[in-house]
Amino acid sequence: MEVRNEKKLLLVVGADQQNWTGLQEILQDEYSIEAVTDEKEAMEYLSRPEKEVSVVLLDIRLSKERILGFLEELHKEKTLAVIPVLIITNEANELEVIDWSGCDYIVEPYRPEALKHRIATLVRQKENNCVSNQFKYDKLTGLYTKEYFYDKVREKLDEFPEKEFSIVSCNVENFKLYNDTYGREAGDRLLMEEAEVLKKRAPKGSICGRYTADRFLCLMDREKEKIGREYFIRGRQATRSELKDNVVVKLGVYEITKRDIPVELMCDRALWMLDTIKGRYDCYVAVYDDTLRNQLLREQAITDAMERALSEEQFTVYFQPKYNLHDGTLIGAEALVRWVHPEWGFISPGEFIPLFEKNGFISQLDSYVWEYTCKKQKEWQKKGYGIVPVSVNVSRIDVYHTQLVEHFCQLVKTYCLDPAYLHLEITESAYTENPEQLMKTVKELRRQGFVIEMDDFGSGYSSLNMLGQMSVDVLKLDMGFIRSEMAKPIEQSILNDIINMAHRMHLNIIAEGVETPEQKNRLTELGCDHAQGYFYAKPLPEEEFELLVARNTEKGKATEQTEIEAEGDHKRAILIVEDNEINREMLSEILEEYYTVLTAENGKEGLAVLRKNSRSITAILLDIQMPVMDGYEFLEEIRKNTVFNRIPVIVTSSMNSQEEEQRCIQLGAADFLEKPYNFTRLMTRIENLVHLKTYDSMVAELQTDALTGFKNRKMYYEDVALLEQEADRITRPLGILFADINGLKLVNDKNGHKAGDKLILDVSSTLRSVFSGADCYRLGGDEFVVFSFEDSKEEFEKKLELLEQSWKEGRSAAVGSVWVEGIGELEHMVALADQNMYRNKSHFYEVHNHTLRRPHNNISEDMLRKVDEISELLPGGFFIYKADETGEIVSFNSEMVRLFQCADREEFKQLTGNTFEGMIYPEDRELVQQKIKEQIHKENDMDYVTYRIVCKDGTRKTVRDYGRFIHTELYGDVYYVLLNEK
Amino acid sequence: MELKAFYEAVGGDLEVVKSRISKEELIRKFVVKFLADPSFELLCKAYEQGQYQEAFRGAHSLKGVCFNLGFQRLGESASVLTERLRGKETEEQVDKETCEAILQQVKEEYQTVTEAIKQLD
Repeated sequence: MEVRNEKKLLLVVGADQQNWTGLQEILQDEYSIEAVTDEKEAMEYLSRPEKEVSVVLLDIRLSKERILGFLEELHKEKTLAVIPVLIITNEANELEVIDWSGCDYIVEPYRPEALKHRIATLVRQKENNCVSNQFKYDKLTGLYTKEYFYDKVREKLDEFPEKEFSIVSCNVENFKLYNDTYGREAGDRLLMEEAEVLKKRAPKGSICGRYTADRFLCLMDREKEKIGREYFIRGRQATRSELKDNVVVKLGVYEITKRDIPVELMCDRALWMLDTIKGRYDCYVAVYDDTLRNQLLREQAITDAMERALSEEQFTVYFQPKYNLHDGTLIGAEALVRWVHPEWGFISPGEFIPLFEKNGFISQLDSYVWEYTCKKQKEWQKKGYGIVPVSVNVSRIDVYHTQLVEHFCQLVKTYCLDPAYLHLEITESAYTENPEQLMKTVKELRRQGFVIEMDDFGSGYSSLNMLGQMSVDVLKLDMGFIRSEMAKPIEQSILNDIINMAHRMHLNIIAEGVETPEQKNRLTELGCDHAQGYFYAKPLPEEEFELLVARNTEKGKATEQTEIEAEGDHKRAILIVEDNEINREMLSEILEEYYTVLTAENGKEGLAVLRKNSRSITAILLDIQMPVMDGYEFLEEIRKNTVFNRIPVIVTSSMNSQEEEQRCIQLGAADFLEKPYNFTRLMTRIENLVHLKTYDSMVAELQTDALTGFKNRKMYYEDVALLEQEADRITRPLGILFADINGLKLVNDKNGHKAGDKLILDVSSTLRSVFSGADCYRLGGDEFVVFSFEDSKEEFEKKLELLEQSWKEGRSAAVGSVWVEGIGELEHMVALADQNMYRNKSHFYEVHNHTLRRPHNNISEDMLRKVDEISELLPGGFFIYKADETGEIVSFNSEMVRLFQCADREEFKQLTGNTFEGMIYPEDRELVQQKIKEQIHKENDMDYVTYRIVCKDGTRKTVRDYGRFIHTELYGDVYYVLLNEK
Repeated sequence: MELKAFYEAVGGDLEVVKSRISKEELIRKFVVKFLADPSFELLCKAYEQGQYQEAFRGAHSLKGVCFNLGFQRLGESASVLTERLRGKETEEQVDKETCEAILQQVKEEYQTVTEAIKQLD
């Protein structure tokens, strides 16, 4: 096939009619040819990108000044400067033209062949120009290309052998992200702008080039460079367009000390520096030094050795045992990789793992460890040992491996292992980076029966917010986190809250890096389940660990059995009590993705399921019309049971009347789900309820002593204050009892804490049964106080007698009491009761009387502060506002700030005027208030509304508001609200 | 018969159902299950034997399932019958004439629905 050569384009400027015709005749066969009248039109024509002119022909009659002006302008533009210009002159002007640089000329009258020849030469020249330009200049930014930059730098260094220079590299942080977000064109514009800034701000005499993509290089005078760095950053800030508010430019600097290394290497070093500060938000400039060089060399050596190490089995797997904190039994292990190099010896995982994570080799190494672990498990199993679950690390890049789930399934299949014996540790930060992809994979893995542990929990910062939505079975507390928690006084520790929260979500907690008995004790106290660390055992070679497993087998398989059950127990479950199969299946279908679904055909079956699984059930969906035991009876049963009544119940029958609905609410139903079922709404309902319930019980927990369920010391002080405040209104006399357990310390020391706890429980349950309905407090340790309002002193005395008879094994506690008719100086009264206890006789004070009206749910300022802390743990937004005309917001968590896209708490307050109304999109305000009013009445203290909010940047979001009306001591009536984006 | 046509035939609207249960294949799965649902049979049998509380449960359950599946017409008839039977225990308390008329209607509509299901592709 013949290729048709396109005709080159010539542009004739300023020729008269006659000349034009002449030129046309000579040239039109070989060239396409265009004419313009003057130099202005010529510039315009040339600037059009689609016109690629090869040669410009200029008529001398245009006048000297205009021609010179044109030439100057042409040479300014890099892309146009390559176009040769041919002046058509006459003899009269010939001499003048000779001096004009950058152009060629031909004298009239010319021979046609000569003209053709001249033009052909110029066309080739233009082509050459272009090629060399491409080599020299970067098309987009006009800076030097990488190669030409190297050349120029070499030239410069040769020219000034004594002068000190630096190579500065710079790049745009997250440029790829920028490109993806704003599009390629915007990305290109950004680069052009950056190049402009670089050109302008770099000190005079600098050489600037573009390395690749968003990486630029600069050779600068050393002295000026240091100022230049600063200058550069400030300079580009001034030229920022608003699109690029978040664009960060970073510098990597290599100070040229030795001239004998190649320029390319100098540049590489400057560029390496950029890598070292990539992603670090607090670091903008990095300067190369030799330590780093050595490190890089070491890294290079490791990289060169790794493949061979794997094939030669230089990597081995150690097992670090995990223990139950409470009874000290072995519950599993973590598989850890070790590398012993034939020459270098032991290489720290801290050195090679981050490197392998960077270069991707980690996934090969991970696979190796996974398979090795499975192989060992199988071996142990064959030897007849009762094996324990072993956890392996799953690196962040493994998660993006599309075949990960298949890979693991295949692995356990090959070695005939139960997936429950392979725990997968995924680091917390992976959860925050690409949650969607991760969730999908993890969900599937869990569905296949693998147990997921979230590694390094507490090392990041956003995980608390996400906890609720995360798909995970075990939280593995980060070592550093534990250390910093240990350094705090216990009341400032948030570890306790995290552990409580995790338990409520049915997550197991394991602490990593437990090294001292103090740490172990504190963690045990806080209710942490499991531990791993040098305090128990260091990572063991497989033979040693095998011995441990063997010994554990001796101890009996019963332990192992319960452990697995407990593990299974930790998945969140929903119980559906519904007699109709279709309805049941529809609900299951929706919920299965997120929960373990348990079903029962009637109330009786429901109770049976509940008894077996009370710990893991997070919510109950209940039909009312059922045979055998209907929904009302079921609710009744649940209400009576102190464990069950914490589980929220959603009634799924349509309510035909106000009476029906009220009956359900009175029986403790938390919410209703109307038929027909709406899949999404159902999920939201359940999630919100579960969260709200979690919150409620957290508040309750703040007021309660964990062991006995009595009110704690804090509540004691608050109640005392409250009673005194309300003294005028209290009509009934009060009996005060002070009790101290006999020899608790002795029991603790002699028989251990468990025996001690049992004694405390005995005493508290005796107190509770004798003084039912009274306010009981555990002041801490072995001290108890009871406030019992009585109609008469005789009744109180009767109870005291009963108490004496009820002590189980002999006399468990010493008691003293006081009889008060008229509240005042209560603490003094309690102190008297305490004294009376020592005298071991009852002594009564008698004064006058009144009735106490106790508001429920009162929360003190101190508690609100605590509530603030806890609210940070809740997934989604949370705030409290006053239920009066002001609607003033008294507390909110940081998720609210994020939701409204505010920079900080102050900005959120300003944006919303710190009122509930201020949060809502104006058009929705009236409706929202009305809806809340409709929903909140005597029997119902919860509301559910949807509305729009306006964010800081003016965008609108639709949110779901789940509110509860409560009375507080400090703020009076308030709503507390969970807010989620819809 | 396609699902859309099916819903037209039973006085429902596929689009409305889809707004609640997003996937058509799920809707189809549950619709077919309706053939095995015992509520209707319970209603008829119990009513014949004069066990009105059981009949009430059958009607109530039928109503719920129908609304869930979007069988609007049958659901509404079942709903009317449910209210007629609510709290009734003895022969005397039941307005038999009306109840039977509604029950007849329920039966006819049940027939329509089940036949339409059988004709689903």
